[in-house]
Amino acid sequence: MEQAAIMPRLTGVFQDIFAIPNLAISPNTTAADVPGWDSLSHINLVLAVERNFSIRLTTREVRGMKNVGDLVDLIAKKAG
Amino acid sequence: MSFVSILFLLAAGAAACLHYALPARFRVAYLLALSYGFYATWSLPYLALLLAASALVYLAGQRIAAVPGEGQKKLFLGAGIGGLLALVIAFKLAGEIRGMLFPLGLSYYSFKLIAYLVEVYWDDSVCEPDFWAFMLYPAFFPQIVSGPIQRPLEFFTQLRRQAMARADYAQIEAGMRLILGGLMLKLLIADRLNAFIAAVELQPASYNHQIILLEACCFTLQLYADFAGYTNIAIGIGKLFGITAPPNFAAPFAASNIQEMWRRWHMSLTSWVTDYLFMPLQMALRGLGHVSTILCITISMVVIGLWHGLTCNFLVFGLCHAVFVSATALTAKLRRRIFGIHVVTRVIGYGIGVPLTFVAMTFSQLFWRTVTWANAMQHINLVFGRTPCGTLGWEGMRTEVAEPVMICMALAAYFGAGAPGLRWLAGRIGLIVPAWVQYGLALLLISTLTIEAGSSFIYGQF
Repeated sequence: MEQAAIMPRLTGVFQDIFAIPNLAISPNTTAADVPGWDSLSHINLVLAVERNFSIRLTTREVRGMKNVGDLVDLIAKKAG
Repeated sequence: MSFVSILFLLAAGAAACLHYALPARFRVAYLLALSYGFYATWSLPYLALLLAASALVYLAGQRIAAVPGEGQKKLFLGAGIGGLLALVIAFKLAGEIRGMLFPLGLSYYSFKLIAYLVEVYWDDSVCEPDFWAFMLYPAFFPQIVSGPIQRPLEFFTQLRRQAMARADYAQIEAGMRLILGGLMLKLLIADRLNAFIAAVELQPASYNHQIILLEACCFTLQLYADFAGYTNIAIGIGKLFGITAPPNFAAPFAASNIQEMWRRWHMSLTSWVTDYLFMPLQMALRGLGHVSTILCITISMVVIGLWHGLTCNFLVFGLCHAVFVSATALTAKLRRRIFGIHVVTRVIGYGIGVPLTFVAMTFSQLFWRTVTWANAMQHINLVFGRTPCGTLGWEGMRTEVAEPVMICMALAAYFGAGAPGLRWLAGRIGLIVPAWVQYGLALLLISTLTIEAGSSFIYGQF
């Protein structure tokens, strides 16, 4: 999947999960930049990403993500 | 050897000077010798246990990184984690049943070793090839008594950097400031609060309800001052040798809910449980929705409770927090909708949340601080007025114990809330008063105001 196509869809997922309609994300965005992105809401994000992009993530992959850029790379790789 | 003994601090200072005088290739071996020497002053047989556990985990880590198949990796990971957990549980049980002495720092170094195994399982490149550097990771003496629980990659990166570097005077000064601040928190505040708590605990039923309530709150403040004081000293000593440990406290009394408080209190343990237990559990149970959240929170908080000891009271402490954290997580959206709409509602929410969080923490401490269930019930009945309280007030204790309580409680609460404005004030004072005068004054305060009957660190027992 093209990285350029992932970002707008992923932004929608973030806005929905964190209930912030005008939330803007970039590859450098980390948990510290998004209000409410903590260890509890992280799993909701993972679930929403899996559902939205029809992929399955492993604990190792989720643990290895440092920012939104890593998540985009992972989706691009997994979604083919 | 205690972190607050003058002999230990002088020896640590001298050892740090020698460390920087040594050629780079000897520094890891030197730190390892220092760490084992420190441990040996406490117990030689348990030093052998530390050596054996570390060496076996080193070998297990090598195997996890070397074997190609996922199944084989899991086998070595499971064997390593199982062995370490069995060790901790066996000694905790032996302590409860037979009164056997618990090995110094076992809870901390076993959690470090488990972190290493899981990290290697997740990423082969974390595997540490240098045997002596690896052996230093669990044994590093500033962290072995009560943490902080530093992550392996962070430790090894810093270890390599410090072995090659000259003395970093800014880091050493920062370390000395932390040691000084930690000593003040422990000796001037925590020990005074401890004297008050000990006086009430001698005859709790004799004191009036006001003193009983104050003492319950005082315990939470004392625990903070004691453990944060210890942590500051531990991080400070590490810095003298070029290793900066992660923080354990970040203004816990400024937290407006219990979930936030756990992100600010004993942080190195909380983040360990989050990364190596809560997150993998959540991933495994992610299809179950809210049930999964509550289950994962409950298991994690119970583990935090039982990590302190395998007793009914610690279990109930964990369960209390499971309820508090679950309630916080499940009401997050509702609270955001009610209190998040305007700056005024946010301030109101904060004004309600901060004292409520402190009360919840203090309530759970009634189980944490007591050894037996009957003892916990006695405290709870007195606090909630279900048992008639006595009539004794401040006059029931010695003046030198009663007099400083309120000021020490206020100071502990102020520092525990992140010491708002202190940085600005310190900057202003720094313009007028030279640093050496400030340090001299701090040492003078410590030497003149430290009470004779100082207590040991509360977290040293775990």
